Order: sequence, then structure tokens, then C-alpha cells
Amino acid sequence: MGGTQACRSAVFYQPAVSHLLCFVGKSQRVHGGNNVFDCCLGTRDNPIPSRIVRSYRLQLVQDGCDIPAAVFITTRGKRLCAPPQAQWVLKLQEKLNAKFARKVRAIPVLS
Amino acid sequence: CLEQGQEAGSWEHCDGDSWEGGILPELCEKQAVQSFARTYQPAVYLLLSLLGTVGNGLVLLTHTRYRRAHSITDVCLLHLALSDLLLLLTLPFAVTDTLQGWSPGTATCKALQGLYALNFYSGFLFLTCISVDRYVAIVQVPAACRLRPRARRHGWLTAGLAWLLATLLALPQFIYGRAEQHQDLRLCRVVFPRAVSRAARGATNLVQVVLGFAVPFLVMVSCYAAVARTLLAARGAQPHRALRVLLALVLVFVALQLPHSLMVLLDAAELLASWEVSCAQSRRKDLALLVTGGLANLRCCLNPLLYAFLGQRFRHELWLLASDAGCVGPLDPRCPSCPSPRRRTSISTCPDVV
Repeated sequence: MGGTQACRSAVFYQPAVSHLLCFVGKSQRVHGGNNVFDCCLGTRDNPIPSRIVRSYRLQLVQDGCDIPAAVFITTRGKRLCAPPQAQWVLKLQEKLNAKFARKVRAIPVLS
Repeated sequence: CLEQGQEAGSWEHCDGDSWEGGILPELCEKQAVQSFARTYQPAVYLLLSLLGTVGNGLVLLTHTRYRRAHSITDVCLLHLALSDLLLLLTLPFAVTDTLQGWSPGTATCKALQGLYALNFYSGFLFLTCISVDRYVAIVQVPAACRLRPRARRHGWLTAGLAWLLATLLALPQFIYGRAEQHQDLRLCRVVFPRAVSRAARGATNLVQVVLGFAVPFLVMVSCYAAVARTLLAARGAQPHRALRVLLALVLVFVALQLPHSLMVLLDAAELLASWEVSCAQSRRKDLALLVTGGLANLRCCLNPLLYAFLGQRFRHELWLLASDAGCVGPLDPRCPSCPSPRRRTSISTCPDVV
């Protein structure tokens, strides 16, 4: 849940930051429509380098998707599906959380 | 730089992200299906609600005003119209959910999801009861005659049981309907507990196909086949009109329900057997579920036409209604749409017409 919560709080504090960190390709699009959701349909246990990952979010089965997954958003805006329990996935998530926390502290609150 | 789809580690040889698409599967985007849904669903659902409200409203009005139910079929037709009307009235809410997200609370969402499921099931139960009652009235004449004095009471009892069974079947929707944040929108959905989510969705789909299609279909086909045999054997009366009506009932039921039921069955199999499908397949499946779902809801608009309007009695009552409202003059015996007593040979629940 860390990723999605982090993104929401970013939206709350500072829209520009949220855009920077939580930009998920076309994340502003309206979803819905007879439960047609963008989902990861499968995952693969292939580690990816952290330098190409901008942020992540977790896909839950309750979201209307068939499987749980960690969705990594790359610097190019691609959304890659990884197994949420894999060690490298958890580590990468922690790294991204830490990076996110640093950035939020660094940005002054605008009036 | 190495080609896409290389093993992990090869990324170091690349300057950019050219490999990223191959190493991990990508999220399946369904933007095209979503925008189609946002056009198709409002157009089809609003049209259906409008037409269906008029049709079923007229059935309810004529039944309550002019008809004293004499048979189980009469009672079931009245409740079928009510059930269809309630189902169609939930559709505009589904449309606003699709277009703008769900602003009312979770309680309203439960009511919407529950009422839709309740009326979905009750409609099939009433259709099934009507076919059984017609079978008894036409094929099992002695039993029908014996039961006839109590038919009205049996009708209400049947309807009550059908509503009760439909409510039980709709319990998952009443319990697990929830207004929930989904990425950037709040949506009204049925959210099963995480641990059983996949199995529960699969099981709900399976129940929907078995009780919402397979059982009613088998009962209807066997009842109406027996009725058709009896009508063909009976010389004299005009069996052809009645047979055409029976054929229309079954064909329309199959044409509207079979496509959606097959898609729901496919979805259930995928959920329960944990098949992994490709993105293109998943898009096609969602599109097919959407289109066939609209078709399946069309049933609620056609029931008044198939079950009530094809009957001469209903047309006669409509005429009475119009003349009561001052739209037309008093009943004209020469008007072609008005029934003459001798022509009341359409499939009737009354055993003495056969």
C-alpha cells in the first residue's frame, strides 16, 4: 500500500510533486466502465535496475484484477508487472519509498 | 545495444530502456475498451431504461387496473414486469457510475448492486414459472383443472418464493457492494474479501450462468416442447399462431442470453482455473462482456412485448386504458387490434381453450 498512499499524500501536499513522482503514463484518465480496468495479467521474476524505475504502485485482487502485482513505472512511462512477494521487488519498493521521502522533504511548501 | 527480451543483466549494455518491454510483462491497458464503454453503456442503457419503463409500466398499469389474476402465469407476468422495471431503473445509476464515479455512499451502492442482482435472478425465475404453468395448463389438463380454484393463491405463493430465492442469490451483492476508491475515481463495485476474491468472483459467475441461463433454458425448452406437441396434436384450433409465439419466446431468450452467458462462463473458467490470458485476449473478453451485457438487459424491454403484448387480452386492456384516458373513443368492435371472443385461442393458461 506504501506506493499508493505515498502518491495520495503527495497529491494532497503538492500537485507538482505528485506529477513528478506518481506520473503513471496516463494516470489522470477516468477509469471505470463496466469494470474494465487496466491490470497486470501476469508477472515475471526478473529483477530490473532501480535507475530506470520512477515509482511503483501495488495492484490488488480487490481492485478488479485477477492477480496481485507490483507495478513499476519506468522513466519512460512503461508499467511493468512484477511478483509482489519477490525479494528484489520488496527491496526496490523500499528504495523508492526512501527516495520519495527525501524528495518531499526537499521541496518547500508553496503558499 | 542488445535486443529486447534479453536476460536480466544485459541492460548494462544498453544506454536506454530499449529492453524494458521484454524483461517483465507490461500492464495491460484497456483505454480503447474503456472509452467504448463510456459511449456504449450510456447510449444502450438509457435507451433500454426508457423503452422498458414504458413497456413494463403499461403491463403493470393494465394488470392492476383491469385484470384479476386467474392463474399463476397472470401473477408471474405482473411480477415479471415489476422485476424488469426495477432492474431497468438501476441502469441509469450504473451509467453515472461509469461516467462520473460513485458519489453516493456505500449503502446506496449496496442497494444498487443488490437490486440489480435480485431482479436479474427474479426475472429468470418468473420466466421459468410461466413456462411450467403453461405446461401444466395445456399438457396436464386434469391437474390444471384440479388446481384451478387455488391458482390465484398458488400464484402469489410462487411469486413470493421466487422473490425470496432471488434475494438469497443476490446476498453477495448486498453484502459486498462497496463504494471504493479505484485509482483516481470512486466506484461502486462488488468487492469480495481478498483471500477469496478470485474464487468468489468465479463462483458468482458460475451461479449466474447456471441459475440465470442453464436451468431456466432447460425448463423452458422442455415445457414449451411438450406444449408444442400437445398443440400440434390438437386438431381444430389455430395452433400455428401459438407455436410461433412459443418459438419466439425461446429464440429471443437464447439469442439475448446465450452470448452473455458464454462470456460469463469463460470469465468464470479463467478465474477458477487461473488461466493466464494475453492482453489482446483480455481486451476482447472485456469488450464482448460489455456488448453482450447490453444485449442481455434488452430482455427486460422485450418481455412486455413477448409475454403481454402478443396476448390479445393485453392489447384489449391497452385499448381500454387509452379510452379511459380519453385518448381514443370507446371500444370499437371493428378495430382490428381488438379481440373478438372467438379468436382467443392464443396460448392461454386456461385449460379449456385447448
